[in-house]
Amino acid sequence: MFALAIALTLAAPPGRPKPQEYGWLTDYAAGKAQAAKTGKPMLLVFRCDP
Amino acid sequence: MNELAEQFVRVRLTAIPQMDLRRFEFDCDLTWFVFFLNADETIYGRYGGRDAASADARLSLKGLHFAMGKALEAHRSPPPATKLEGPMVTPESLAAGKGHKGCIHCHNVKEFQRADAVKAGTFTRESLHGYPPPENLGITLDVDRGNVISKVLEGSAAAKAGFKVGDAIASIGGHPVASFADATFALHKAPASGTILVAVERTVSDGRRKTTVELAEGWKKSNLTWRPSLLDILPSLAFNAEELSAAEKAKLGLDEKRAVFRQSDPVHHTLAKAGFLAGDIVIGFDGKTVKGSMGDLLGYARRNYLVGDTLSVDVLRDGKGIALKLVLK
Repeated sequence: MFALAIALTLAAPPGRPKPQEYGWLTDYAAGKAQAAKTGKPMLLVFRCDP
Repeated sequence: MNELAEQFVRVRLTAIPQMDLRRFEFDCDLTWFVFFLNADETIYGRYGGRDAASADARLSLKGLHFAMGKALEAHRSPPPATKLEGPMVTPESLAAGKGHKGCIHCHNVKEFQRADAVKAGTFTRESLHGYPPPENLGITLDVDRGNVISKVLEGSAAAKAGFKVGDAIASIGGHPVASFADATFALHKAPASGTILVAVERTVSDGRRKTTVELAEGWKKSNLTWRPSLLDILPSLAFNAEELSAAEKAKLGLDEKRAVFRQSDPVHHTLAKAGFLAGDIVIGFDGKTVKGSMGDLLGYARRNYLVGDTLSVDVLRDGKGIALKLVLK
């Protein structure tokens, strides 16, 4: 499961990856705004930290 | 996958605060879940989900890729946005959620909703059986192509409706399906009994077909024992016991495949209070027998009863059959 989430961040460096480094936003409102601006759909992941 | 992912604005949340639960409906007993949606919050689909057997057997990168592709297809001609009237329903706005300290995790949402329903007198045991798997209709979906049927159970509602392996489900009850998560969401919305319309794409000449599936009473029931939101109401049975051997079962005239165990010493106080003694042989619950091991017999109780229920335990003591009433904790 975690491996799947990691794959979405495009690479798997040593240690815990920071989502922002791989083009992931961590704020829903910001994501909505960017989706409206770019015309792209959103891929919204809910991930409970272990 | 990277190229496909770049076509989305990607957002990752590790908590679920201030999200409108009327829009973001999903099976919250999860640690990882995806919504595909546009800036108007029109939801194209869902990906994620698990079952009693495994946390990730329903998931694969290919399956995610497939679901992402379907979401992009939907984005090319999205349905009109749906505006939700009235105040948002957020985890924090739930009565049981007020005053919650620390992060609100996904499974907390279900716990708050259940607590509020209990307080309002609207709780039902049936409500625990949300997001039933498609196997409850008799179909298994392909992990890598989430709307394609990979198995049809003989004699099931799906078999009677004419589903075949290889059929691609377009929608269930009007909800589009591209993944296991989409299917369980659609089945969550389905009635407790009656019928549901399923649109199926056939590869042969009849094209897209709508098929009515019969929903028998109790069709939504599934194994709840894996759900973290229910840990406080799933019973734990404090038997300290050993399984009987095939020879011992034969001596008692019991089928060797039957799940049977003998209570050892010491006897937990909750069992002693119910009258259990060391040496008692448990052969079933409420007159029902289970094949398999002690774990299978105890699992039967956990799957079918809740804390507070009274379980009648069928026991052999000194060669005589008795029933002991155990209030489950």
